[in-house]
Amino acid sequence: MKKLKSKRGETISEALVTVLIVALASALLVMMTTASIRIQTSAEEQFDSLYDELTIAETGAGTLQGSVTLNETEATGAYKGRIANYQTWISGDADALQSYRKAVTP
Amino acid sequence: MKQKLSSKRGASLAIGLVFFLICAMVGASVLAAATASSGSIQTKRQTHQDYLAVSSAAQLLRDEILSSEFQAVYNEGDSGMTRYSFHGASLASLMEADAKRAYAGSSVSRNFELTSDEFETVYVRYEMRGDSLEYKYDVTLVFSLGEGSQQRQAMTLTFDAVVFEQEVGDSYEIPGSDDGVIPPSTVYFTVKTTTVTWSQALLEQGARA
Repeated sequence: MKKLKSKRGETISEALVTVLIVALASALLVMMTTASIRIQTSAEEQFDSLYDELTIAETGAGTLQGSVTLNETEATGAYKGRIANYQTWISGDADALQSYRKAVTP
Repeated sequence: MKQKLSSKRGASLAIGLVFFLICAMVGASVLAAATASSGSIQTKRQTHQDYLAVSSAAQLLRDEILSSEFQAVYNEGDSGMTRYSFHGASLASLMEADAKRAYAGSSVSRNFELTSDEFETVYVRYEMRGDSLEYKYDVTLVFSLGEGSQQRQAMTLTFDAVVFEQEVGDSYEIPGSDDGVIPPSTVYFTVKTTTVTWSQALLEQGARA
C-alpha cells in the first residue's frame, strides 16, 4: 500500500518492461481463452453427435445384418457348446454406436 | 527482489509480474477445464457402447424367454407318469430340462456367452429357481462384459414365473374278458396340469445375486 501510494517515479526502461510484460500476459490470456473456447465448442459438437448416434442405435430400424451366437460355457461343470445362432439387425453406422436385435423371420 | 520491494521507486514492474502470473493461472485453468471436458467424450462413447451391447443381449434373451411355455401333465391314480412339454424358441431344450428339475424342486444355473463379430462378448449367468415353492421357476439372468475382476456394465434381467395348476377328473373303461371271468371296470384318475409361463421381465443396472 505504501508502495502504491508513493509519489516517486521510475525509469523509462522499467515502464517499458512492465508494458511488455502486461502485453505478453494479455496475449497469453487471450490465446488460452480462444483455444479453450475452440476445444469446448468441438467437445459440444462431439457430445451432440454422440447423442444423435445413441438415438439412432436405440430407435433405428436397423439396416446392417449381423449374427450373434449363444454358447453355453458351463452347466454344472459340463461344456455344452453352441445353443443357437441368431440373425440380427444392427442399428447404427459401422463407425458409430450400435445396437442389435433379433431379425424376425418372415 | 527484497531490495526492489522495499525501494521507494515505482511499483509498476511488480504489478506487471503479478498480472502476468494471474493471467497465466487463469488461462491454464480455463484450458485444463476445456481439455478435460473434451477428454471425457471417448470414455462416454465406450460406456454407451458397452451399455448397448449388454442391453441388446438382454433384450434378445428376454424375447426368447417371454415366448416360452412349460407344461407338466401328471396322471394321478393312473400310470403315475408325468408328461412334459415346452414351447419356446432356441432355448426350449435347455429350459425344458431346467423346468423339469425346478418341477422336482432343484435350482439350475448355467453360464452362457453371446458372441458376435460386431460386438464385444457378453457373459450371461442364468438361474432358474426350484428350491422354494413361492419363487419356483423364477428366472434370473445376469449380463456383463468381461469376466471376474474385469466385469463391467452388469445388468440383471429377472422374470416372475406365472404358474397355473389345474386338476381335472377323468376315467376310462377296461372291458372284461370274453368268458366273463374278468368283469369290466372303470379307472378313475386325476389329470394334474401345471403350466408355467414367464412374465414381468425387469432389466436393472448392476449384478444382482
